[in-house]
Amino acid sequence: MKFPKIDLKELEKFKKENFRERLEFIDKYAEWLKKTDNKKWSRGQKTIVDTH
Amino acid sequence: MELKISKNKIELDKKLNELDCFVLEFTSLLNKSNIEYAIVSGYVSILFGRNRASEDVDLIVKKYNFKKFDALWDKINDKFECVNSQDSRDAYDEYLLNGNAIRFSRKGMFIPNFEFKFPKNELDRWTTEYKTKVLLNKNKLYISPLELQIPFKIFLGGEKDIEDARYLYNLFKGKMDNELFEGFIHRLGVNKAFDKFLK
Repeated sequence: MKFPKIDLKELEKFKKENFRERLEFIDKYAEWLKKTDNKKWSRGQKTIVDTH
Repeated sequence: MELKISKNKIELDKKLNELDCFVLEFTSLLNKSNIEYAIVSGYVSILFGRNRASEDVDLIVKKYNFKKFDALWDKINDKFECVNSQDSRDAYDEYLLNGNAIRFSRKGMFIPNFEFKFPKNELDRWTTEYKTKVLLNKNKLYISPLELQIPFKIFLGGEKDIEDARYLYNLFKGKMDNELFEGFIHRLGVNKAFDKFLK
């Protein structure tokens, strides 16, 4: 099996970009949650929290 | 833990949690549509028993043309919806082709969701090409090879990532392709972190 070409600078950029996307997602989720009724958003949370 | 491990295949039977069911429901649509993908996120460690939560499941999907993506979009939209865009053309052109991810959740929900993206680099392409098949209660899904997943988690370097890497390494050491594993440790420049946190 051949190793892929790895560009560490590019991967560092990816890491930052990934973090930025995560923060954006958190903002969007918080906005959605604010306008969604408790019964509905807590169903999604149950799926996640009851997993462990 | 009983695991059957052979080359590029892991078999696991367990009591499924809600996140597992969510993952199997979505990946069955990808499988039925002959879409090549690999799950690369923290879900990999949850799949193998780690007790932690995750709001999203990261997926690298081989790059397909719009026609194939659109057909998949229709299938997905029976039970799931894209939280970024309601239009397949917009999701494809504005997000996926620009290197951004789209997210699919169950209809009307926001979490949990699948973060769906095309490969951005050689490493991503390698991941989808050499993915590992997992038979979870006989249901097929594909994950990133552990020989890459563990070093890459070390590379990401967050506390949660290191914990995931250490957990997976404890489970799979001695059962992986060591040459491949060490090759990625070296190429990702994480030798010191590996010695410090995993050994």
